[in-house]
Amino acid sequence: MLEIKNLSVSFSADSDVLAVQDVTLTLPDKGRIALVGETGSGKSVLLLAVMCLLAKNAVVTGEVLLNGEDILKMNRKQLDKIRGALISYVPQGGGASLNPLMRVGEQVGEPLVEHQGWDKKDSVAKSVEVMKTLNMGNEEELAASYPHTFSGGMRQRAMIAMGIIAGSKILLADEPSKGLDEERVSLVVDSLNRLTEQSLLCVTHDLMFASRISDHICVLYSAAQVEFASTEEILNDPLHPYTRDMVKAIPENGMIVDNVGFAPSHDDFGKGGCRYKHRCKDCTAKCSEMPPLFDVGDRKVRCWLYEDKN
Amino acid sequence: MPGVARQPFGIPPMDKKNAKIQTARHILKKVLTSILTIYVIITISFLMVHFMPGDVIKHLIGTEDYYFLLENNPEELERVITKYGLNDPLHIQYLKYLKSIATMDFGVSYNNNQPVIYNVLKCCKWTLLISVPTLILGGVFGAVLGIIAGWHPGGKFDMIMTPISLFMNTVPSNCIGILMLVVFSYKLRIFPISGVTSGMLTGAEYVKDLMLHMALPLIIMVMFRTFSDFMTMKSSVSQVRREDYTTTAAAKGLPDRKVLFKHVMRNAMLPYITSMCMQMGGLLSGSMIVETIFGWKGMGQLYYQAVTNRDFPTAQLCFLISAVCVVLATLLSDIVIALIDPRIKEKVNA
Repeated sequence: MLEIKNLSVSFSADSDVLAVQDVTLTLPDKGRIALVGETGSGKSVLLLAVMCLLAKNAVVTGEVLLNGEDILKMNRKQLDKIRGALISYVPQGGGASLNPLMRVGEQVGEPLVEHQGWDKKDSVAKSVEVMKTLNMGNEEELAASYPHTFSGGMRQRAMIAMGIIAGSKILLADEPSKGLDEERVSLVVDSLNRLTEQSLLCVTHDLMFASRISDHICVLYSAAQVEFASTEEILNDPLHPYTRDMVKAIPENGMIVDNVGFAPSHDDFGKGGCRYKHRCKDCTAKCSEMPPLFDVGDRKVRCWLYEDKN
Repeated sequence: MPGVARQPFGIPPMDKKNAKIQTARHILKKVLTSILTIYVIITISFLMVHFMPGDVIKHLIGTEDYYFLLENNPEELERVITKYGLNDPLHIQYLKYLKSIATMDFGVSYNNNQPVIYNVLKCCKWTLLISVPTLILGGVFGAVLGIIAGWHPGGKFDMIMTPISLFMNTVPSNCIGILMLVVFSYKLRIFPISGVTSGMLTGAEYVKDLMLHMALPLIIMVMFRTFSDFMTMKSSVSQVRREDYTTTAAAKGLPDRKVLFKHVMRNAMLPYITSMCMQMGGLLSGSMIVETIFGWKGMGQLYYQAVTNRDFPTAQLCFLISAVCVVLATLLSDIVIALIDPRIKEKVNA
């Protein structure tokens, strides 16, 4: 179980610049949460903050509890023990996500060598086995190849295999569908859905992709968490005005985009009240103040509209 | 979506045997290109002499001697022209030239009437005595310091080393050379001022004397090489550590040390190895400036003197050697990189 409590991230170059503000989230065992938001909303930074992989100038506050222990308070040695073994980060399968000079099998098997003392040969054999469970095809050949021969989708799934190989039960995936065509996305979805033992926290900007892999969706807008609900509720009955606009823009719902605009720049954060007020049709005088996260039943919404239903 | 069919996609991965053949083919291609390049260099060095403005014989014996002989002893001038085969048509001269290179006959130095190859080999020995330790020591020091600075860019070590090395990279070597000569040889009298040995010494005495003579030029050369290699390695490491696969490695739970040695170093070494191989091309050229300052009788000084004394055969061989060395060094770096980096050979054959 992974509990994220009041997590905020800023970069010390200017501490007013908040990349993530006050995110609270619980990922239960075998739970699947998608973090949805547009580019720059802080999704990827959130994942890196949970893994303690951010650059040194990042200031992270709040708590990240992994089975009750705060990851943010761990030293490097303790972190090395949990990374890849209890909690895995699956980076985007872009061009440089795998070391170009090492065979893929060796890289996928590396967490086993590191955490469980396997020798290299066995770890490669095991990586073939894991890739088979992800249904990659030609697994033996893939393991003996170098990353540059891989397509984006293959690289992405090799990264997923790397995440689960050492028995890690929590997977943090960063935009696994980015840059892939529909067919490859389906293959990645297929691979992710084969992971029945693991819990998944997946960052994506693709709401349809999110709906295929998650049971809950957390919507981020401009660094702030604006809504958290089950996937079905988000898609069928979105509460926050931003989520509503986002769902309306899905092709199946008619692709209605009637409030074109951009998220405000991050440096006036916390001064201007609700981050969405510039584009929101339900904006009231109250919105000049930042709303807290209101509980609406099981759901969480950061909007003054739901103050009474709290 | 459990119903998705298993389908391979992307570039089909190569089997190992195929990969080996591709590597061999890639290397063979590079070797042939290098041979061709050397042939072209030899031809150009021949043509350059013949298409230089003025008569070749004037270049060979000097303008003054030419006019002196023309007026006072035309038979002797004719004899010299026939001796050099300058009456032959160009293609015959060219073939003779190729033949002389193939038989390692590079003519006689105008300076001391010794065969050129003999002079050059003698100087090679002294140049290698400085350039090999420089390559190795500078390469190792530069790499170690560069890795430390590049792994923590903006850290204390980086903040101290980078300005120093920038300074050292911009100061000309003759400036530091003369400074060190004044301090260590002239004022403190620790090291001899110039030359290779004092002469009349044997055994351990000779070795000690030689070491004292080579100390200053070697220190200067190693220093300069270290600082330039430091910059290469530092920028390479600091670039690689920002790559996604470095984050991937840390996310797997690898400790810093393993991230550095298994993932960052391997990749950062690629440009460094190329730079090292290219430096090997300069092994036989010697540093003209440092050798001249310290009176070190190496290739740099030989070349310098051959040019100033119009010692044409010597200069030509020096030119040929340094050109061939650069081609061979390029070939070496091509081969080494092809063996280390799987992307190279496939890109070539794609």
